[in-house]
Amino acid sequence: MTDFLNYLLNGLSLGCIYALIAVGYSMVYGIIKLINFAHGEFYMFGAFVGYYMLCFAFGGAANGPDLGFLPLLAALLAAGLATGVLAVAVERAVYRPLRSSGRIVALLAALGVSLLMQNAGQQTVGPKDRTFPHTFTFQRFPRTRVEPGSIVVGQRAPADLSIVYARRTASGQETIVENIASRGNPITEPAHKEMERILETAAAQGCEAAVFSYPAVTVTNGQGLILVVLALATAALYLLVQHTRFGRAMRAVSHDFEAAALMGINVSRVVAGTFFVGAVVAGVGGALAGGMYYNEIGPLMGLMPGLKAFVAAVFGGIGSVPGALLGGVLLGMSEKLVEAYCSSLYSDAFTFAILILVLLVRPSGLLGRPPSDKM
Amino acid sequence: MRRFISAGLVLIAWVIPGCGSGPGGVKEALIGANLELSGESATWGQDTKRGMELACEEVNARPEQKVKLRIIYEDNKSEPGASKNAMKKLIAQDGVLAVIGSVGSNRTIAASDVAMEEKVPLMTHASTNVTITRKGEYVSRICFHDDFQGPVMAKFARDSLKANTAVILVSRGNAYSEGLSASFRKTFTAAGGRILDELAYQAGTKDFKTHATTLKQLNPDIVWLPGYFNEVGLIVKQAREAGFQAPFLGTDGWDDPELFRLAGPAIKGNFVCNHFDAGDPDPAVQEFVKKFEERYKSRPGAMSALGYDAVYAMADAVNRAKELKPEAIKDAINTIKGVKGVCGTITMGPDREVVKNAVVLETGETAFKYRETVKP
Repeated sequence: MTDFLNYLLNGLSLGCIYALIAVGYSMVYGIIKLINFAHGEFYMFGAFVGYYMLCFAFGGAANGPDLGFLPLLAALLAAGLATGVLAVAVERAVYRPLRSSGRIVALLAALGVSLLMQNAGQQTVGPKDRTFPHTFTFQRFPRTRVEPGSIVVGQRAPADLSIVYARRTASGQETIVENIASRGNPITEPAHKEMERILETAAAQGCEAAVFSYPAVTVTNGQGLILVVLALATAALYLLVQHTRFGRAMRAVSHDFEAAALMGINVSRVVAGTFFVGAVVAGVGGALAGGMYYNEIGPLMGLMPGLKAFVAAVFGGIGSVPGALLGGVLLGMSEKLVEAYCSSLYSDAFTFAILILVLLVRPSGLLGRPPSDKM
Repeated sequence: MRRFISAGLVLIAWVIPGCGSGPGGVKEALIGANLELSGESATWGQDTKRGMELACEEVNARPEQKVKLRIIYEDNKSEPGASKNAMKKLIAQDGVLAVIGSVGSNRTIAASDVAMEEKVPLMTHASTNVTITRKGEYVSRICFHDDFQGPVMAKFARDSLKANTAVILVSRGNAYSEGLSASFRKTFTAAGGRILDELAYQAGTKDFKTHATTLKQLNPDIVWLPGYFNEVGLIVKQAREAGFQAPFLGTDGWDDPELFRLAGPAIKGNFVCNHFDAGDPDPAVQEFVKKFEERYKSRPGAMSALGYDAVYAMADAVNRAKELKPEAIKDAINTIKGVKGVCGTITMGPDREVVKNAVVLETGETAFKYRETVKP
C-alpha cells in the first residue's frame, strides 16, 4: 500500500510536468485548431534559458554549491519570458503567413519548426546532454528529528534514517543528505561511524547537522515545488481566461474565429498572445522539470515529453485547459503505475495506446466538448 | 619523358589507396578510426581520439617503425547505422587498410558486418560485448569482454562486499548492458548469491523514481547496473533521494566525468570495473599520464588509454605485415604478441581476444579511487 502511494506521488509529479506542457498545446489548438508540434521544443528552449541564466548570471556549475531558491526563481522567470517571446516570433514568422493555407500545411510547418529547433540546438550547443546547475538538495518530507545517541549499531532501523548537514565548499555552502539505514535494515558500523564523523566535523565548523527519520510515504521538496508551480499556473490561467478582457477575447476567438474578427477583436493579437502564454508555461516547465527536477538537459529533451503532453491534451480534451491539466496528471500517474506493476518498457506503449483508445472511443476527450454544427 | 614517368608514378602511388611513400622512402599506412565523435557517447569517442593522436605521433617517431601510420577519423554519431556508413566511407572513399573502433558495442557490431564483407580488418579498442569477435577473422579486440567483466564484479560482490542478494538493472535493447547482466547473473548465482529481480529501463529515460521505490522494497545487498553514465548518474541520484542505500556495481560504461556532475555527492560509495586506472604506479602508465596531461590539460580516462594502446597494437601489426594490404594486416593483427600497453600487454589469442587484468574502482564524490586489481 505504501509503495502504491509512493508510485502514485511520483506519477503525480511527472503528471504535473506533462500538464505544464499540455496546457499550451490545448490553448493553441483551442484558438486556431493547430497542433503545434514545436511545443516540446519550447520546453527544451526554456530549460536552456534557465541553464544559461544560472550559469552566467549566478555563476552556477554542475558541481557548484547550492544556488538557492532566488536564482532558481529568476531562472524560471527568464525561461518563461524568453520562451514566450520565441513563440511569438515563431508564430509571426511561420504560422501567421500560413494561416489561410489550411490546417495540414500548418501542421507540417509545425513539424518543420520542431525539427529545425532540435537540429539547430544540436548544432549550437552540441548534442550531448549536460548537467543543470545545482539549486538545492532534494530532501524528503515529512520527517522527524532523531537523537543521534538513540541510533545503535546492529539494531534494525525502525524507519529510513538519514543525516542532513550543511557543508562548506570553496564557493559557498551546500546541503548533503547521507543515508544511514533504510527501514528494516540493520544499522551497520561503517554507516554509524560516518554519521559520527559528520556530526563532529559539522560541530567543529559551526555547520548544522541533524539526523531524521522518515515515514514510509514521503515527497521531496523538488516534487512539492513542481506541484506548487502547477497550482500557481492553473490559478493564473483561470484568472486570465475567465476574468480579463484578453481572456474574453480568447474565448470569443476560440468559439468562432471569423465572427470574433467581425466583432472587432484583433484576432492576430489574440493568437500571438495565446502562443505567448502557452509557451511561458512550457518554458517554465522546461527549466523546472528538465532542469531542476531531472537535472539533465539536451537539445532532444523536448521530443518525448512533447509527444506525451500531446497525448495528455487529447486525453483531457484538446482545446480545454482544465482538460489538459487533468489529462497530464492522469497520464503521469497511470504511466508510473504501469512501470511499477507491469514493466517500465511498456509505459511509452501504454501512453500511445491511450491516445488510440481515446481517439476511437471518445475523440473529444475527458473534458472536451463534442463538436457541434455551427449555424 | 623520364620526368613524366616519375610524375606518373608518384601520381599512381598517391592514388593507390592506403599506402604510399612519404619523404625519404618511408612507407605510410592509412588507418581508419570509426568513433563516436558526436552524439550520446561523444565524450568516449573524443577521449579515444586524443589517446590515438598521442600514440600516433609516438609510434611514427620510433626509429624501428618502418611503416608510418596516418589515421583518418570518421564520426559515427553514436548510431549503429551511421557506424556502418562511416566504415563504408573509410574503406571505399579513403581506402584505409584497417580500422580501429568503435566504443559502443552496438556501433562496433554494425561496423563488423562491413569489415567481414569488405575484408578489411576492424580492431575494437573498447567494445566489450562478447559476440563481436565471433563475426570472423577480420574482427579483433584488444580489451577484455563482458564474460570477464560481469564475473569480475560478481565475484567482487560475493567476496569483497559479502553480498548475498542482488537486483539487476538492465538497459533493455542495449547489447552491452544485456550481455553484462547475463554474465553477472551466471557467476553470482553459481557463487551462491541470489538475484531478487531484474528491472529494465530504456535509454533516454529521465525519471527513475519507480525503479528507486521498487529497489527499496526489494532491499537487495547490491544492485548490478551495467549501463551508460548518463542514465547511471540519474538512477543513483534518484535512488539515494528515495533513501535507498545499498551500493551499485557497474562497469566501464560509467567512466565519464559527467557521471559525477549528474549524480553529485550521491555517487560516492559505488564500485565499477575498468580497463585502466590513471593512479596506477606502473612507470609506463605514469609516463603516459604525464604526457597526456601536458598535451590535453586533463587526466586520461580508460578510453584514451585504450585508444593509445590500439594505435601501438596497430603499428606493430603494420610493421610486421608481409605487404601493405588489408589481408596481410589482418594476419599480422591476429598474431600480435607481447605489445606492451598502458592497459596491460596485448597478445592475441586464437579467438582474436586478449587476456588482461581488470581494476575495480570505487566512486568518491568527484572521482574514481583505486580499490583492487583482478587477474583473469
